[in-house]
Order: sequence, then structure tokens, then C-alpha cells
Amino acid sequence: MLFPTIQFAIFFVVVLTANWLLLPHRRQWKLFMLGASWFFYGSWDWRFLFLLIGSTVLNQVAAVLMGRSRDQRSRRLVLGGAVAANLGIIAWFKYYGFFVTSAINFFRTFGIDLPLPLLEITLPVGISFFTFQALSYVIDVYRQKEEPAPLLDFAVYLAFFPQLVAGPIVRSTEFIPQLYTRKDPRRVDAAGGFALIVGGLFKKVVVANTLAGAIVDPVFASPSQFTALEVLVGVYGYAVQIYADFSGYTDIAIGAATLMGFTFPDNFNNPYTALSIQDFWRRWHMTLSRWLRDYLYIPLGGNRGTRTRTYRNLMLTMLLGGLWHGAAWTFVIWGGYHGALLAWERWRSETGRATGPDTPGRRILARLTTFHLVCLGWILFRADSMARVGEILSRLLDWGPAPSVTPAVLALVVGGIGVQFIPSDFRVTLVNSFSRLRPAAMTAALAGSLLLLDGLGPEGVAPFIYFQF
Amino acid sequence: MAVEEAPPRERQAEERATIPAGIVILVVVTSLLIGLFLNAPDILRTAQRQEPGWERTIGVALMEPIAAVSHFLFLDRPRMLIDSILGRERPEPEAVTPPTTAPPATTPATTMPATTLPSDTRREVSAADPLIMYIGGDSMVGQFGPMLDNRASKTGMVESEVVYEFESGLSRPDFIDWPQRLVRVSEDLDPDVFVLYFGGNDAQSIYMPDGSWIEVDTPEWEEEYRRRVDDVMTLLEERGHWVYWMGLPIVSSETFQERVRLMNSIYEEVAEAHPRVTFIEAWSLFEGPDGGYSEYLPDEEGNLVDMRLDDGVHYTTAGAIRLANHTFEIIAEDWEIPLE
Repeated sequence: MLFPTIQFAIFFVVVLTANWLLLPHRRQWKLFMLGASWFFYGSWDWRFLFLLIGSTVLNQVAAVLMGRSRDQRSRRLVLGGAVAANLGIIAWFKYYGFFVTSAINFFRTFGIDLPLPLLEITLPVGISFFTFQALSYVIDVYRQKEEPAPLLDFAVYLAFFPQLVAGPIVRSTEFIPQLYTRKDPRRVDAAGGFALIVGGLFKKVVVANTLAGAIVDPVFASPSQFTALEVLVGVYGYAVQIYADFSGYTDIAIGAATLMGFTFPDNFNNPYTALSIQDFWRRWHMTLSRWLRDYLYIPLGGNRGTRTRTYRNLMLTMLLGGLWHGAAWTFVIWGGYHGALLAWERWRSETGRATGPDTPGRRILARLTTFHLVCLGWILFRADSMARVGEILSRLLDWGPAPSVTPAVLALVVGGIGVQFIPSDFRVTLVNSFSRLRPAAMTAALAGSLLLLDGLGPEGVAPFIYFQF
Repeated sequence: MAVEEAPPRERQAEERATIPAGIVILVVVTSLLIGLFLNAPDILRTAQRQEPGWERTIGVALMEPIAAVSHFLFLDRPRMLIDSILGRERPEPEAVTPPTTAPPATTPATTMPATTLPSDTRREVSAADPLIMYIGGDSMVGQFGPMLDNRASKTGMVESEVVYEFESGLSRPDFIDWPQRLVRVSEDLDPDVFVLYFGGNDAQSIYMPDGSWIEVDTPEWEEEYRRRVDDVMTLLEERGHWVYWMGLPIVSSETFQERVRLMNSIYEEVAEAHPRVTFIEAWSLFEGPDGGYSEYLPDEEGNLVDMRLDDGVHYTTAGAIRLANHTFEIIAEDWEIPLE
């Protein structure tokens, strides 16, 4: 059940209504929300519902065992088991084919045929997201940052439908306390929720889907047919598409949660305005960045050891972050590329090479450099092989007419990047003005938005890019 | 140029007017209902294109009166204006062209007598006078088409146009009427070669011009589907085009495998009766070592790669390249185009 569909609209109206009606009855609310979220997840493939339920039970058992035990050794043993089980599940469903084919192909170069079975395994939607949420929960319980939650609370947290399949990656410490805070049904931040939902739908349906069909997919499928300007705009177009697609999804998720009285963490903050790669990762998929920081980078030692160890930790974190995105070497290389850039920036900063006056010119240069380094990374991310990466880069030298760069494509690319430079105060003022509209005017504005969304977007509903992760 | 950090949403919300939950629900429901009327023609078309079944029946039954009211009250005009400004072909549901299921003689006038086939000699192709190729069909073209286009263009002697429509095929001309579209392509582009890929969505009940349906897995379905395939081949052949009709690959679902076998046999048998049509077999190209479905197959260098998407039907890029190379070898041999 994709967000921009009539099915989801009907589902959401029912859930939103029940959400506020059942508010005084906490237990019934939780049971209803769990059932609705499982229904939402099961609508993709009901078989994977058992995986979600299994993950819930497994992690809750581990959390309860750790909560009851005072022996640090057994707590560590339970945590190790839970982490191994979570990683095992994700490895099986997401990486089995990748690992097996990589091993077979590697040994084949030495003339050895590995008799490993090749299985057809379907990737359950959202597995990377709910597994990371479950891991954060068991690790936080182990670290005694939180007590084990009641089973029903944890089940609702893991399955809560807005963020279930593509984030943001919400921490249990952020979500579960909200199950107990008294929400005031007389004071709903409707304007905030509506603005996020409509904005997210616009990003996905109009910007991302249009760019994908108009330039990005053709350029990445057969770059040899396009001239340098078309390929360049295709790459910029992908930068805008992936941002609009993913941030659009999380905007809708956060907006839906807002209308139900929940607060989710932000996931994007104008990433293409970043002044450095480090700054980019503070603005892009922020909930994944902080997850990797807190549960991988810092446990590896973070920046507490020698300079070399810090670089190693950065590289390892980003390599695994790359692999999290997909089971292919191009994703690993993309992660390594960002790890290397982060290490290089750190080295420059630590050795005093990154100093200088903070002038407008330097800031513009820093933004342009960062954006283009990120775009180079997106080529690695989007291309299906390194050969295709080479093909795309080589086309950047072949200048000629560019009929695919239409005014509409240019407007979406320039607009998609330019909108990130609009001061946030302006956006806040706009939403605050919207909030002061009378309900009838608000309704008219929303209905008009629906007309524009359906009218301006290409026909059909394309899945969100981050669903595959 | 200073870009400010976004203030936390909590602080933004403090400065914002709030409304009661009941009003929120009312606003959501009302705006969705108005949106339903404003976009009624498009939503009705979406409902109509679904496969026959209870979901389609209910969707169409609900949307038909809404679309009629929307039209009567002029509520659909803003949407029509947007479509017209964007130059989109989104006909009103009432104005959907009647399906072209009649024999080719009833299709728009051809440039030559239907009984006389053009010469069976292929023209000479060169870089100055390249082969014009139209690659069209359902979602199977989505990966395969660009890869064939990419492969062919490397010779410098082929120019291609790739067009595909999700959920389309020969069973549902009420949604997209491919025969009519191919006539338009023949007139406007006049390609030397049509590479056509159908079947991915055709194993469903067939829509007939009188609005009735022929159920899938029946002898009547096979007869009607065979006739439609024959119609398309005849139509293009009589207009002087050469056709490469793509077969479907082995699929993961055993139920679907039986239907795919049937459709492939229809394509192959009908193609044999048309001298300008070549059937390109894809089933065995994607069989595993045991003759069954396999997601992973060796590429040209012998490395095992993922050739099929998780749905067990469509191709990954690697799979599409495999089929595109195979297909282009056949086309290149026919048209005497050097492969490099």
C-alpha cells in the first residue's frame, strides 16, 4: 500500500479517526494501531508479516532477559545473540544472493567451483529499517539507557505504519514515551501535518517521478545515446530525484504521525546546501547517520584513538552504511567513497589545511564542491556496474545538442536544488499562515493540491527508491 | 549566502494555530472527496484498467456516477485544462476509443493494398541511412528496450525509439489500444523494424468490443488471443514493416509458467505464417542449469549475476543486456549490420 494511492487515503482516514476516538482507551488504542500497522505491512506480502512478528518476539525476549539479569556477562551474551540474530535475518533475506555469487565468482577466478546453492529469496520491504530500529532498542536496553518496554508497546513501536517501510529510523526512546504522554485532541498541529504530507507528495509524485521518466532513467540506461549536457543534467536530476523521493516519503510519514499527535525526528535538512561531506551527512538521512554514529562508529572507537584508527572507523562505518543501502558492490564502493571523503576532510582539518577566512566566495565554492562530490557519489549509487559508471563519466566529455534537457526538466532540477536555499523562516511563516486559515479554506487548499498533484505527476504510481533498502 | 538551520518542529508548532482532531478529520475527508470529484476522469480510468474482479467492479461502479456528476458540474474541467496545457493524452473515460479487435482491414487505410505484401528484400542499412527501429510493448520493455537501444546504437547504424506502457498488452485495448497506436507509429515514424514485447499482462480476461469479457484459461481465450496477435503481425507486415516478436522468458511462478508457454507457442506459431515476422525465443535463454527458473545466470564472462527481479518475471539490467545482445545479433544478421 503506497502512500500516493486511494487505498492508502481510505486506510489513513479510518486509522486517523480511530486514533483520536480510541485515545482515552490506551490499551485498545495500542491493539488497534498494531492491527492496522500489521494490515498495512501485510498488504505488501502477508508472508512477511511473520517476519515482523518474529523480529518483535525475538528482540523483546532479548530485552526482557537483559532487563532481568544483573550479570554483565550473561547480558552481553544475550545482546550478542540478539544482534547476531537480527543481522542473520537481514543477511539471509538481503545479502544471501550477493554473498554467494560474490564467493562463487571469486573462487572461479582460481578455477575452483564452489557448490553453494543459489536460492530465490524475496527481499521483504522495509527490513533494513525495522531491523535497525529493533537493534537500537536491544542495544539501548543493554546499555541501560532504557528499561524493557511492555511487549505491546514494543510491538507498536516496531510496526507503527508511518515509518515502518522507509523510515525515519525512530528510536524506541523517542517513540514509546509518546504512548504515555497525554495528547490534547483539541490542539492538533494540522497545518504542520498537512504541509508535510502535501509537500512530500509533491516531491514524490511530481518532482521525483517526472525526473525519473524524463531524463534520469534514460540517461542511466543508455548513456551512450546522450551528450555531455544531457548526462550532466541526468546526474543532477538523479540528485534531485533521490532527494525528492526519499525526503518526500519521510515528510509524508512525519506528517501522518503529526496528524495522529506523534512527533518524529527530522530526516533531512536541505542536504544540498552542505558546506562539506561531514555537513552533508548531518543533513541527509539524519536518522541513519546518527544510528551509524551511535551504534557503529562510537563502539568502534570513534575518534578517541589515533588519527589512523579514526580514519579506519570512519571508513568501516561508511562501508557498512553503503552495504546497508543495497546488496551490490557499487553500494559498497559508494560507502567507501564517502568514507574516504570524510577521512580526507578530517585530515585536512586536523592538519590545518582547511583553515581560511569564512568569506561568501569560499562558502559558495565549498557548496559547489560538496554538491559535485555528492553527485559523483550518486553516479556510483545509481549505476548498476562500474562499467556503466565509466560510460557515464566518459560521456561528460562529448558535447553536442541536448534535446532531452527540456525547460520542464531544467525547472525541476534547478527548483529541486534552489528550494533548499530558501530560508527556513520563510517556510515556517508560510505554514503558520496556512494554520490560521479557516477549515473551509484549508479544505479548499488541500483539494486544490490534490488536483495539481494528480494532474502534474506522470501516470501510474512508482515505488519509492528507498523501499528496496 | 547563509543558510539557516531549520528550527525544531516543536518550536515552529508553538507559533502555529492548532485545530481540534474532529475538524482535522473533517478537513481530510472533505478535501479527499472534493479531490475525488476534481480528478474523477483519471481515477475512473485507473479503476477501469484493473484486471477483472471484484476490485474493478466496485471501483468502476463507484467512480462512474462520480465522474458523471463531476462532468455535469464542470468539476472535471480544471483537470482537463491541466492535461491540455501539458499536452497529455488523457481522454475522458466516456471518450475512450473503441478497442481495435477487428481484422486489419478495418484499421485506418494503409498505403498499399492489403492483399499485396511489399518486397521481402531488406533495404541496405548504413550510418548515413540508419535502420529505424521501434521498440514497444508492456513493462518487459522497461529494462530490455533501453538495453537493446544502447546495444544497437553502438553500431552507429541504428536509430531507435523505445516506448512502453505499464499494465498494457493485447488483452485490454480498453486501457491502451496497441494496434491503433502501432498504426500511428507506422504513419508518423515509419520504422523499418518493430520489436514488440507483449504478454506480461495478457494472461487475464480479454476485453471485447461489446464490453463483454472472455475468461482466461479457456479455448475461447486462446482463439481470441491468437487472432489479436495475428492481427498485429498482419497489420504491420502489410504496411511494409519487419517485426521481431519477443517471447517471454521462463518465470518463477509455476501457474504463470503454463500461461507463458501457451502465449509463447501462439507467438511462435503465428509468426511462422508471416514471412516478415521473426519470433525471438527467450524462455531457454533464462533457464537455469536444471532447465528450471533461475534468478542467477552466468554473464558473458562466466560470472554469476542476478538476471531477474524479485517478481520472477521482469529482467534486471544484466538480464536485459543478455536478451538485448541475443536479440540484436539476430537483427544485425538479418540487416547485415556489423556487430562492432
